[in-house]
Amino acid sequence: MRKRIILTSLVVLAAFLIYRSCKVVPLSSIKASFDPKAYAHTVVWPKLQSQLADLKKADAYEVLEAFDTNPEEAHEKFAKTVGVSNYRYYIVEGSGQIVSVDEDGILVQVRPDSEKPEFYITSRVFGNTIVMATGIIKMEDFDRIMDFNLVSTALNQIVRDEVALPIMSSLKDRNVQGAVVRFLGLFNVLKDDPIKYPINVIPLRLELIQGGY
Amino acid sequence: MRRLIVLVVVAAIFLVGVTSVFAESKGKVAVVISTLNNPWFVVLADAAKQRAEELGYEVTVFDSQNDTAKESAHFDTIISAGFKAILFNPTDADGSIANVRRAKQAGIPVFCIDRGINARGLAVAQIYSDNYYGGVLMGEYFVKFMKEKFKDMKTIPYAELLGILSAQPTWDRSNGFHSVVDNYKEFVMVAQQCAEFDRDTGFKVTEQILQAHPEIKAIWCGNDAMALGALKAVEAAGRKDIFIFGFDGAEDVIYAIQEGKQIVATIMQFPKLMSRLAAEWADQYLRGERQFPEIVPVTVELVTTENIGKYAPYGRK
Repeated sequence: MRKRIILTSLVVLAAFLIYRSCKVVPLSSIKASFDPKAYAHTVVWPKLQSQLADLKKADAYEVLEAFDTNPEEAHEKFAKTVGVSNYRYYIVEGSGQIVSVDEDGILVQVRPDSEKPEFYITSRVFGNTIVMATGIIKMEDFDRIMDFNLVSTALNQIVRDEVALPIMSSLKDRNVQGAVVRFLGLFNVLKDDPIKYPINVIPLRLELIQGGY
Repeated sequence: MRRLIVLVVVAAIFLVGVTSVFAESKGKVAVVISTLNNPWFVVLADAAKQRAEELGYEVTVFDSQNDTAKESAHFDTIISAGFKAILFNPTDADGSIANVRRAKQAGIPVFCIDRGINARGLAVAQIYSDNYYGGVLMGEYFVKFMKEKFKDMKTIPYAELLGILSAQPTWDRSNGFHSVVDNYKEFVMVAQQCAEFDRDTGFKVTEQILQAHPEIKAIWCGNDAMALGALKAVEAAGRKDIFIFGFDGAEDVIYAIQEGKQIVATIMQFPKLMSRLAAEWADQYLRGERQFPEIVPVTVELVTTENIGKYAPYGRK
């Protein structure tokens, strides 16, 4: 009887010590421990901002001229491919005259002699264009592709909030037709398709440099 | 002269023999597919098999029937039977990791096709459709198309059919779609149900949704099989005011778009391209090449009535 009591006490003591030495964490909380939004805010966005000057970018005017003459050559010279893809990613820098502004973006004409506005600088930032074009994060860096996509989505929201919306809301209710904006932006096109204008451009930097009263 | 002919014939027989010995020596390649109960995956399997056979391998196709236990049993067979490489379409992004790990430990290179696993450093390469971007493309088109069709409606109710819940593409496609559509307040998702990437289930689930939510104007489906099931249910209910959006570029859906049926768009994936690339890389690996990108997103493209002319089932014309 005494032996049984001692054994039981030892088992209880051992169980107590094991319990105290372990921390039980639900699996769901481990899976949820990576916060894509926080990661995008604290790591990816600052990194992207610090690298803006170093990004390999093309002159918007030159790219558009090349689209007119030989799109294939333009893709070869100015664009980037990611994976096995028909998409070509461009990072362009330049300036243009505002043709119109609506709730989602700014219609811009880069070449004064162009028959149509070439770019629509959008505040609707979707997809993986930013991360694919800049390479600021890579799929290989994430165990789960879903995390890569969620970080990319969070980065889109930051670009919308920090870059696109401030200037677009400042242009609202102002006569800005003919004013000039300077931009650094990115877009993608399908290599075999004819270029459709205006091209949707996601702004990474956007400023009004002339006019707009 | 006769002696010369005999010599030539003997030499020819010898050469044929040597060639066949070399052909046999390229070994066995396994193609493990999540399910063959869906024409899209049959195309994926056939393309992998065909390319690996062209490259000189003996190929066996294994059907996991969307069951990780069956998939695991296939890997047991493959490892014990001395296969040289695995072209692998995983059933479950998490549940398939252990199988790839076992193959790697056994020295068998694994090349994931169409779907990936949630682990790095195990598969030699993961070649798969950029499902998230496909969802984004569909979301953008969905917003544009539905806004034009229902200009006067303040809210546009719609339903979503999800694929197999443990499959990574299910969520990549859904997340991509919602990353766009959820930004437009006029779109209200009134039902979101799992139809397991299956045509019959898609039909049954859509029937239930139509009864519970007759107000819906669109159904976004995570693959074309479910879209075809949804189409059947919508047609049976005589609902000409509902539009269906799919994902895959499967044969019946391409024809449905061409014929102007209520499936108005899909996302073209390129199963043949992915399978061929995986087979070629497996061959290169077995011949000593070791430099492969681990993650390879493969292009997806939006197919609508406007650009259907340049697409054929499972790819471009």
